[in-house]
Amino acid sequence: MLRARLFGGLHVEIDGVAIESPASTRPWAVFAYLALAPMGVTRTELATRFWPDVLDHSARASLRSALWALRRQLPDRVAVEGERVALVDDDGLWIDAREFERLAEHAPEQALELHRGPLLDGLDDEWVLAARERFRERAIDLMERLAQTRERHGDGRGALELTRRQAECDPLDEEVHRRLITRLSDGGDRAGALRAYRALSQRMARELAVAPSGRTRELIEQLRRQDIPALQTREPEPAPGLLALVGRERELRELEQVWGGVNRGRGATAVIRGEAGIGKTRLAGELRARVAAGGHLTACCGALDLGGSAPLSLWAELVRELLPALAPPPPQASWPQDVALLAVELPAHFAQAGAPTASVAPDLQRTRLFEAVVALLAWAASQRPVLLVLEDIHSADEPSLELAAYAARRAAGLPIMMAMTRRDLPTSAAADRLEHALRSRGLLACELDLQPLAAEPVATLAREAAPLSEPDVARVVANAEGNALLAVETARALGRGHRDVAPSLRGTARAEITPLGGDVRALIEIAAVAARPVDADELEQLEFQDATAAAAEALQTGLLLAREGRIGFRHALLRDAVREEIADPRRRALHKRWAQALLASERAGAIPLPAEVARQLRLAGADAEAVPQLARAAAKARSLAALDQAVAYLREALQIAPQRSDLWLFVAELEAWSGRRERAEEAFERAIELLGDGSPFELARAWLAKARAYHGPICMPRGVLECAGAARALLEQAGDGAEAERREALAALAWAQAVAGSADEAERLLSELDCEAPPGDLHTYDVGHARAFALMRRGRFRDSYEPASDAGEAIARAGRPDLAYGCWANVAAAASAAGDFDCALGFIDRGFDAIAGQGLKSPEIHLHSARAFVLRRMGRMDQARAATECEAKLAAELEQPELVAMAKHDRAMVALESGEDELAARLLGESLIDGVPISRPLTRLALAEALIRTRELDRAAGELRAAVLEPVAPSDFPETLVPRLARVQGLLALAREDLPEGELRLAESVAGWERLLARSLDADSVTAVLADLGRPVVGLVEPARELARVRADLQAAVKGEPIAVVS
Amino acid sequence: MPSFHDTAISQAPPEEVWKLLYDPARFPDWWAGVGTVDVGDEGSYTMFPDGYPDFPMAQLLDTRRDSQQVVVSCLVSDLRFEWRLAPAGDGTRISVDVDIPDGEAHRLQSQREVIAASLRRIAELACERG
Repeated sequence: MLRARLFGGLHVEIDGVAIESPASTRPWAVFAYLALAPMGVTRTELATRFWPDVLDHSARASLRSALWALRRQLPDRVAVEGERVALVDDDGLWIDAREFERLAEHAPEQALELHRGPLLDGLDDEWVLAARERFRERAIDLMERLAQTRERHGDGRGALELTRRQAECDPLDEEVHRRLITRLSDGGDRAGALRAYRALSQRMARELAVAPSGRTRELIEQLRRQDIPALQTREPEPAPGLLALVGRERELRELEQVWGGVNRGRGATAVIRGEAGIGKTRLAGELRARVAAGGHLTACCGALDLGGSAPLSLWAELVRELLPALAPPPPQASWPQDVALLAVELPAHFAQAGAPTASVAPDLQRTRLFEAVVALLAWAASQRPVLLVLEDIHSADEPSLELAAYAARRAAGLPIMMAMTRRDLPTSAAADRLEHALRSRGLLACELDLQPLAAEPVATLAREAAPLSEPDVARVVANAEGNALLAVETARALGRGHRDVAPSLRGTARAEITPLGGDVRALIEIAAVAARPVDADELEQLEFQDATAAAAEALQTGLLLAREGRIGFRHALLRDAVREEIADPRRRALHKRWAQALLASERAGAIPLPAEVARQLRLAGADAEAVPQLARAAAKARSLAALDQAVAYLREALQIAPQRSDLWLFVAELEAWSGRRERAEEAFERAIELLGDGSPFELARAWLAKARAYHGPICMPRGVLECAGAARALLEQAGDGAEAERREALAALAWAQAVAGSADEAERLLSELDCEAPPGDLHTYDVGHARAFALMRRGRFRDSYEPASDAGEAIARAGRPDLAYGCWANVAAAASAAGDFDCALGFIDRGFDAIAGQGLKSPEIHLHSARAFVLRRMGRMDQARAATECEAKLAAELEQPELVAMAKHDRAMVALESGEDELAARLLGESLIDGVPISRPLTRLALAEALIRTRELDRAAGELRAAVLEPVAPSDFPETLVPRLARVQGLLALAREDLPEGELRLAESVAGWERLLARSLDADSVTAVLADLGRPVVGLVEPARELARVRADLQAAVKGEPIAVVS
Repeated sequence: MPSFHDTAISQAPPEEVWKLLYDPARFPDWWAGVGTVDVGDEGSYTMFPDGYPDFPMAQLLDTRRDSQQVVVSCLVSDLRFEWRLAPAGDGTRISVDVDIPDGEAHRLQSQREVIAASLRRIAELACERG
């Protein structure tokens, strides 16, 4: 008897004995082909099918050989009659695929039992794929027929099981998944339905780079608009959240007025303050319900009241809530890829998978992410007005509130309203800052301080909460003291017959949970320690015997509420009260159980929540287990540019595990990006110390990480020399296998020598790099970037154009637009130094091209600044002015004081050369704040000159004094400061009609410039500007031009003529 | 490493002292023992001691953004001079810290005298300019 199974992979037996039959070999592939052809096939068909690329006679020879091999293993089972080949089909032959076909019509369940997996799994010939698909479709049809039959007989569970099998059979079949989603939803498992959709959309994005079709999305949107029928119907009584709003009519009117303005296209924010339980959430909820009823978009989020919320968690929640209602944006929109950092499913939702966002340095990432969220809000508001509710901002993470301020400001002209609730206690400096920022910009349209309710509204609430006698209503009023939550809870307790009403919520909570046991109590307690609502996926992972029944019974207590697929406490105070009732050892165990459920949920496909898991593990006392979660939380925070939060996670982990050198290195890198050099160096030292006795390779990597920090955020070329040098020496000891690290060390050394060491040594290292490193974009960038600097150092500015351009193009191809910007900005500076101003403008345009559509506003501002400088130098003042206006506009959007001040400085310099003296004086004065990338001594000298022109001579003298007390760095062109100062001293003396002193000072300046003219000072000054200020061009020095100007000043002074304004 | 600190008050405003301090070409006018100065590239210059025109002493003039200092380092002897200015009434307080490498510790006393004389001279010279 020959038995062959084709489903799941080829398996052949003769008389019950399995024989080796690898389908990957030609003879057995031919056998499989014959097994699927009951009528047999021709030799020609077999020869062309299996040996298509050889001559006919060779193919036929190969076929003969294969058939001979088959017949040797299967005696009398392969019939070859002339041209025709077939398996001998008699009682001694059984093939599952043929049996499947036979049973399908009259015994579909038996047929499906045979369908154990994909046909000929492991063999991917074209004919197999077609046959596999045919059988798969057939199997799915059978399953669906059976599912419908079971449904008709009331066996929903059986129908669902068959639908799940269909989905397993074809994980990318949308129609099958729509059936699954519908049956899950109909069966009350709305969360399961949403999960099935999420799995499908993620799989489609990953494997096909498309999103589910509009039909599937529409289905899921309908589903999301519904509540959970199963849970809701089991609620015993109306939840307080559903009671009519009482006693807050005036406040609601105010909020509705603000919304009216938003509806007319004017963005606004509102804040609702008040003590816990006073009715803030109820008021915001009422507004939200009314807005939603009007067909507008709404979304709500709440802070995790546990400490240590993940950065931007509020916005992740808001984005997810808005997502189902959003139409796909235009294909060219880049924001979905950026917002995906917050909500990973977003690009797939919009069918935009496959275009990952380019990576940029952390200091640029934040703005890009914020801008992307603003773009999403603008897109949402272009469809319908939007209401966003941010609950409990006093507990919110700082980046979430910073983004709220940013979004409110940037979206001020859009129909978007943000309503926020907060308590005054606990105090929150971040929430205070947000309110202040909104208020100072006139964006806070409504501030409500909810006061205790009067007696009558409290009585109304009590009557609505439970059927009470009037004396009981009076007890409620007396007990509640105007607090809505306490009123409702007291009323409910009295309504349930608790005559000894506890004066506190804790007493109420105790009365409710004491009689409970088993899973119900555990569920309530876990909801308390979770400190947020629990969704259905998570509930499933808690492994209750019957989670749905436990949830339904927990809802009966009235402590919990089911809403939007999640179960949570009706109020945070109730939750706190229950938590306080749990004795410590049990509470720790519950925290642990919840953490494990979160991890299990993640393994099942849910969004990872490492920060929350870490917090729960720490509360559980499982500190060691929290360490890897804290590290993951830090990595996630870094990806969101929330560097402070990432550092905090790592520092917390290091308190537990101070020997983790990898964490020290991570924290060092983040401290460097945060501009905290000393802390970064300290962390690097700890890591290097810990690695000191270990492998030279690991130690070398630590030194390389430090070199990277000095190369990037800290920008200390001499530090790079030391660290990359140490790494290189260690890598020599490490032996083979560290080519990438060697190359990095070499490239870093070359750059550092080029910028701050010996240009000759830089060239030598670059030659070495050229020999050692494999070609590629990163190599081209490293070499070109360093070589351009080395050439600039030597004053060979024009020679630097080519390597810098090569580097810029290569690193753009490698997906680093921020570094590409740097290349173009640097070479623009070189072109300016060479006097090739048209060329410089061209390079600046290349810089704009490199960052176009990347959301990199800060580099864009610097490019406008550079453009303004070059245009000013070319005397094209109107265009220079326009460039500074673009710069100022972008800086205002970002609202970074340093960039705003830089824009003022640049505008002022145009004003100074255009005779707009008062404007110049005002803006220069305003630009002198800390941290601005400008030369402070030079700015003060310019300010003094402007003040001389506006005849504010004492102030001008004050600025001269201040100029010499300013710290001086190489980027301030220190050698030029003396003749510059002398010139302004001369101008001041002339303005004071002290002609001899004026002539003396101007002559002193002339002498100074004459000395400098004899030397080449441009080269080092240019590289110093690039390294110190991180700006492309801030004031190149041209001694000849300066000399001519001072000579003209002197000549005018001698002749008694006015000093010319424009140089 | 031997080191010392010295200070002087000039009646001249800080601007005038500052111009002398920031211009190596003017060092011979006030720095005792400096005969001539050749100013080179990259922040470097060469001082020739009085009476020794064939004995170049390469120097590096550096400035520090964070501490308002002018630092002069001798590339031959590793001597290091850190100069600081601060307003003092209508005049200027001039301070200097000098580090002398161990190998040249014997020069401590002579450097004290040289710097004291230089301080007096720069303070006076700045007044002449003012």
